[in-house]
Amino acid sequence: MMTNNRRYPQLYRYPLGALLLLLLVFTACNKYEQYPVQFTTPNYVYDSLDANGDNARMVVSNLYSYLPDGFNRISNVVLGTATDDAVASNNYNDIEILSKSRLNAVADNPDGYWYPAYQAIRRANLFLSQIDAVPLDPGQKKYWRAEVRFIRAICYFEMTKRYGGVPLAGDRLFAKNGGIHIPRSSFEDCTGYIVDELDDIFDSLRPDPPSSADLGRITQGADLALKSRVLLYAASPLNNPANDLNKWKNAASAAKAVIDLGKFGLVDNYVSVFTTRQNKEIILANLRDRNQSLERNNAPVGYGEPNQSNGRVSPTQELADAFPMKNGLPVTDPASGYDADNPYQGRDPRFYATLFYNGAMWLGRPIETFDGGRDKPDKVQLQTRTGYYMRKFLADFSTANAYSNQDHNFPILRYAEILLNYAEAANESGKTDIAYTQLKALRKRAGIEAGDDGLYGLTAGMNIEQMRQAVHLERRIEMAFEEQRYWDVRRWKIADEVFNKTLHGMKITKNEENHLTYEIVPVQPIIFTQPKMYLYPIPYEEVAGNEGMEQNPGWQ
Amino acid sequence: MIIKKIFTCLVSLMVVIAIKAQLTQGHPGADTPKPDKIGSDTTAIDSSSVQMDTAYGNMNSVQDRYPVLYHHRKEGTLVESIGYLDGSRLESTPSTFINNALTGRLAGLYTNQSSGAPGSDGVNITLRGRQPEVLIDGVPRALWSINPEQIESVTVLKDALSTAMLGMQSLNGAVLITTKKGGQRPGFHMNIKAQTGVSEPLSLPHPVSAYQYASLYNEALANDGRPPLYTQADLDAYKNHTDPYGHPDINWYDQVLSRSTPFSRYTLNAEGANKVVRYFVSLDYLNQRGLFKQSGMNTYSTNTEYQRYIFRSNVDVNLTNRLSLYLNLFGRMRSQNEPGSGTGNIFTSLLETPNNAYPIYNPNSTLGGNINYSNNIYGQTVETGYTSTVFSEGYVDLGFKYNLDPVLKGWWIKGLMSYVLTLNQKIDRSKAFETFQMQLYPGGDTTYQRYGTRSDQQNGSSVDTRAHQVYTRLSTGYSHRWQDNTLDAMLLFNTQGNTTNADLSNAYRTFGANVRYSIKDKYLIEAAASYSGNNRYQPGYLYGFFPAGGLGWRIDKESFFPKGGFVNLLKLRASYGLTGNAVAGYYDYIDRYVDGGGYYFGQSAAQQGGIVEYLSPYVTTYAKGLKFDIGLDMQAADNRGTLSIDYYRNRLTDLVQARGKSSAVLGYGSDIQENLGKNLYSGLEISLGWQDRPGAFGYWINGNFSVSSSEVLFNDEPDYPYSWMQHTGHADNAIYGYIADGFITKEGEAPVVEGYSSRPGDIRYVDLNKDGVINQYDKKAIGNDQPLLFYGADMGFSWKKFSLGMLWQGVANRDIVYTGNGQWAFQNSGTGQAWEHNLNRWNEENAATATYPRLSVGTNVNNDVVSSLWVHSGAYLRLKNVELSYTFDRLHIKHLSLHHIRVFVNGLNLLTIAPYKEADPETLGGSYPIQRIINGGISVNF
Repeated sequence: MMTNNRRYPQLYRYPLGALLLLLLVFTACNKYEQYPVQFTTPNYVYDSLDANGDNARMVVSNLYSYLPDGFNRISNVVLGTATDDAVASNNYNDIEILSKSRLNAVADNPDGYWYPAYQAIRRANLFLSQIDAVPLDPGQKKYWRAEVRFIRAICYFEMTKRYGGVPLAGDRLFAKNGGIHIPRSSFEDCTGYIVDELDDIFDSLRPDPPSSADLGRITQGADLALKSRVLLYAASPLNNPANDLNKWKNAASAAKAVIDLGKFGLVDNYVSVFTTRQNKEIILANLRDRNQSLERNNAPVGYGEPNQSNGRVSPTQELADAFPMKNGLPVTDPASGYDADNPYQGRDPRFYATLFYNGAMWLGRPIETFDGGRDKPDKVQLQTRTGYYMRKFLADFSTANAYSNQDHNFPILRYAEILLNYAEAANESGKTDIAYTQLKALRKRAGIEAGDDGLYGLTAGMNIEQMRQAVHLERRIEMAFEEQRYWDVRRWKIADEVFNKTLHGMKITKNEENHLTYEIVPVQPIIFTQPKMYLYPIPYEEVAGNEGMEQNPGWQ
Repeated sequence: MIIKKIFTCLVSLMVVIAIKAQLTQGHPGADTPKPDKIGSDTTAIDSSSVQMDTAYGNMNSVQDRYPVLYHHRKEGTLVESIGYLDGSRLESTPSTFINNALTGRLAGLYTNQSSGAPGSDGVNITLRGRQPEVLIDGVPRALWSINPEQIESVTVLKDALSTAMLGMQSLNGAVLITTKKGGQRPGFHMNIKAQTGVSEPLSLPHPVSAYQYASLYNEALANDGRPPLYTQADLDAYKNHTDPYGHPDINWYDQVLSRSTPFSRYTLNAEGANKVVRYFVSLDYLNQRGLFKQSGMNTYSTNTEYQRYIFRSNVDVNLTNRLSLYLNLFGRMRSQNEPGSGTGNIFTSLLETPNNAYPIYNPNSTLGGNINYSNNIYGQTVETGYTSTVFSEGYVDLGFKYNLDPVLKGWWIKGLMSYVLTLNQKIDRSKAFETFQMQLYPGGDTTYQRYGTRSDQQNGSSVDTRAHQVYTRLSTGYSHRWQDNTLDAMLLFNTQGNTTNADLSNAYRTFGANVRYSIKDKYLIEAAASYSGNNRYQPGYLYGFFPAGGLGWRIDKESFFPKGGFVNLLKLRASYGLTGNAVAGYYDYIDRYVDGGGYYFGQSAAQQGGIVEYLSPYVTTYAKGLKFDIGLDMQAADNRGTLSIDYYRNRLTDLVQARGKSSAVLGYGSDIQENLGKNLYSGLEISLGWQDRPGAFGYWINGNFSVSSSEVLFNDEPDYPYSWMQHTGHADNAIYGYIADGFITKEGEAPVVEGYSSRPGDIRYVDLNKDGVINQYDKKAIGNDQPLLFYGADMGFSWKKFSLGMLWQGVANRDIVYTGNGQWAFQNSGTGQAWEHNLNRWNEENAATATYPRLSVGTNVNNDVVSSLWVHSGAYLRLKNVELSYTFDRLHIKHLSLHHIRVFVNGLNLLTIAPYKEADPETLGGSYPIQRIINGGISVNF
């Protein structure tokens, strides 16, 4: 600025000029970026020049991430840990807020779904209102629209099973302002909305099976399967106190529609349902990265690195006892051949696929869950509390030396559930014979012996009530840890008795002669406070902030 | 280390030059002109009060001139509300951050220290309830870790009038740091100072022994209705220490932390002047070592360690009679070393690991660990390599002042360009280790199960931050005095652009003006205003106008006021104005999509990225503050006594907060920020001082006392059914929770937290709405709802060559809520530690005297929540700082003439008196403890 000292002093003769000159130097403006042009502004996402819809595609990918997941979802354990099927291995786990009815409207609900669901719904509505601007191939656009509407529908369903009726936003995009007054819709209205949506989008979805590149995308089968589940829930005692048989009939025909589609079937090998990416039984899965986290979270604790595992879930003796023998007879039946001194012999093959028990092979050695055994060393707090670990979903590492990355998919909808839905709805509407057919199919696939009567261990001539029990049992063992029983027991409205008891484990003692003795011991109680735990509390802030919001019964 | 060598060479060179200069100069300062201080107004200064050393330091809070924003104000003419501290007062505090030295010294300025880690131990400063801007030599830059010897003064700008010209950065008040200039005294002067000391942690948590832990654990399990985990044999082994591998008992704090660590600092200051050039140079080296123990196996340091090199050179040149230039150069390099696992992580592990978790080493010399505790703390400390972050900063200020007297007497122009460069480079030499659990297998085999995986040492380097700031200011002013009237006016324009990494510059542009007019120096009128903008707001909302004005009345100049009486200055002043603060985020007004969760598709599960709406465009404008201040200044007994009283009332609006009367049903999530909040900050500040030096004996005492209160005037919250649930009307940092009401005596007794079935010894709460259960309706403000009181007293005396000074500092009406791992036993799903204060838990025997509820394993939903049981008084009184020194005058060693030598001993955090005993009331338990430092040194003046 002031390089020439000799000339500079003369500037005082033109002080104003000097000042202006200096001001110019100081304020000389170059062209500069007024705001970060790399921002992906909405007009780039819904871009009339983007024939591939590259940004819109990412909005859809994000919405897919809202599909339900169930692997070690809550405090590193599965939701089944909040039922009579399992307890958490650590001494205290947040899942006990659910399993011991310690929920309230203010504390974080470990299974809360309110906030993510409405966020997904807004994002879906935004997508649906804007996507027409993108000059996509019409077929592609049709798929996306339908997939996004499916995700919106499943979000509503996930909310209704937790909270009952919730506010329906429809296609509305709400403005951000105060003084909110948005009332709840009834459970029936929500179910109606979900079903209407599913009916409406059916033709716009991909037919099954999708190409291997499109695996994981929502298909017509998923649409019908979700509808089957939604209608089954709507017909169940919790939501159908008058036992309107038409609701059961609707549920039965919805399940039948999936069967009639003819695209799905049961896979012969029960384990492979969960460990292969694409099979004819999975209707919709939450696709996960290839990894070994599932194994490391759930396999027994007695393996150091490189196979260190955390055995976070301890299945209960109640679940172990629920599995019949290979002949299909319950362990309580004297004719079953069950030996209390050798309890893991000759069981339903699904028992071996679902549970790690003392003596099961894993990583090249038998598992030791006897007291002091390598997988129950007694000095470590994180270890099985019941003598069992959860094996379901895990790839087969019984003889391997070390873990490797595996395909993992959490089954959101699978064909076995449809058969169970059909069995249950048909039985409730008086068609017990249909229920027999479905249960036999499932038991046959499981590897249970048909027996002389061809009933796979089922009692002949069951009435509705007996068949109901049989369906409930089959659902428990077939769908174990798939986030079904927690809701099933609620919708059957039997949680008061089923979820109020002391849960047990197996204490196994090894004496000097390596002889094992088995003793069933109490582990911890499960507590269900009725009636309020049948529905979760609406988060308190929602009740306080929205003048139209009503709290659920028992939580006011 | 090359830097250290270069630095040492530089210092040696400086010393040699200085000594030469000393020898050749003979009698210094014979014909050095009295300097005209750059940036000053037309008033001449009396430089005699400015000294370089604390022994003769200016303990008098009365100054002739005070630096205020962009200019100086003469004593007695201030209309603004400011606080002033002479730089020499900072020198007795042995700390890496000079803000630590501000604690307790200025009314209205509150500090809280949350960590004592070397290089991260600066305090958080709040001024009248808000975090102030920091300006060094008039340029916004928060460099707190600098040596105090380069600081001339610290001024705190409290009211609207004093900060109005900061425009968009004026709301929160400001701290002005003014660095030293050469030529304050005639001739050449040099000071060399060396000091070294030890620091030790002020308070560490007190874990229980392994035996106590195991016993308490069994008790907790029994309370929860569960079988015990430890057998009698286990308990005996813990108690008698008979099985150090299977039943260890290790106080990890003792194992990984040293009791004391060294601290040292070396400083060289030099200044000089002749007719043309005046210069000031400061060099400083500081080294503070951390607390972690070291392993002889490592050839490198794994300790937390802080090394700092500072260089400053301030040069002023008179180019002509009327044009002067100045150039300030500042360079700083800081190197912060820490264990590869991270200092914070080690302290977290210390808080989470019980004494019986695992042995340090197994019998086969491997590190112990197991499934719950796979991170051996000793391993974390010495087996994880190290990371080192080098923070390099430099800046240049180039300015001029041009006097236009020939055109118009009293007219001047000033300009300044400043450039700051910051570069943070992280060198990652960390590695991972493995631990083993020894298992005695039935049959006598010993096996080892491995946890974790050993990894090679990393060799990574990354530049975390590359930032620069360009600042320019051009101002012009006019001063005129006629008859009894004085007029000072100034116009300015400044720009500031801060660029960090790849972000676009955060730019401010401000036009400011200031006019002061006084009649007979008795009636003072001042107005200041700015029109200021920040580029990150939406066009149309970029700029704001911030006017402020003030009035002062010098009562002592009135004819009715007795002359020559006890009171020699009495002034009333008041100011009022609008201030603002830009918090625009990063162009948050622009609707956009950002990366969000994606999904896997296809047989190969290829990941497809996702994008989501970035929900930010609701913050539209800057926060505003209407600030009112009224004050009284008094000086008495020939300036020996001073008194200053201020009352302020600041009403802040458009504060950013999330809307409460809202619903997630709208789909926005729950945390969208909008300009909704309104807060009121008000308070009273009193400063009182007295100093005298009758003969060889001198003494001083400067006290300050502040009351600071805040009130939420508007908080967008729902209309709750009960008034106590509202946050509106309470302090902005109030603690909300349940009110504890003793302990439950019989099973199932109410009221307890909704859904919880009580057992004896659980906390009983006050059921405010009388509905039988404890839930959201029973929460109310349980702490920090009273005005905060804080105070400090700086006192001392000197007798002949001997001087003793001390600073007491305290806080009252402060509440702390201490929860989590350091307070509650057996957290983290039951793997957590237990503490000595848990021993006084409720059980059958001591039900009457228990201070802690019955034990339970894991997080107890009834007991382990915020309630008044965990709220304690955070009041404390500290002997913050003491300095004892002795000065030897005029030493002649051969040809070397030393002006004087001073030896001193000082200390930091020497004594703390607090009602809360479980942890330090400032840092609480979980982080790096704050340090007590005892330090000694020598200061030589040439």
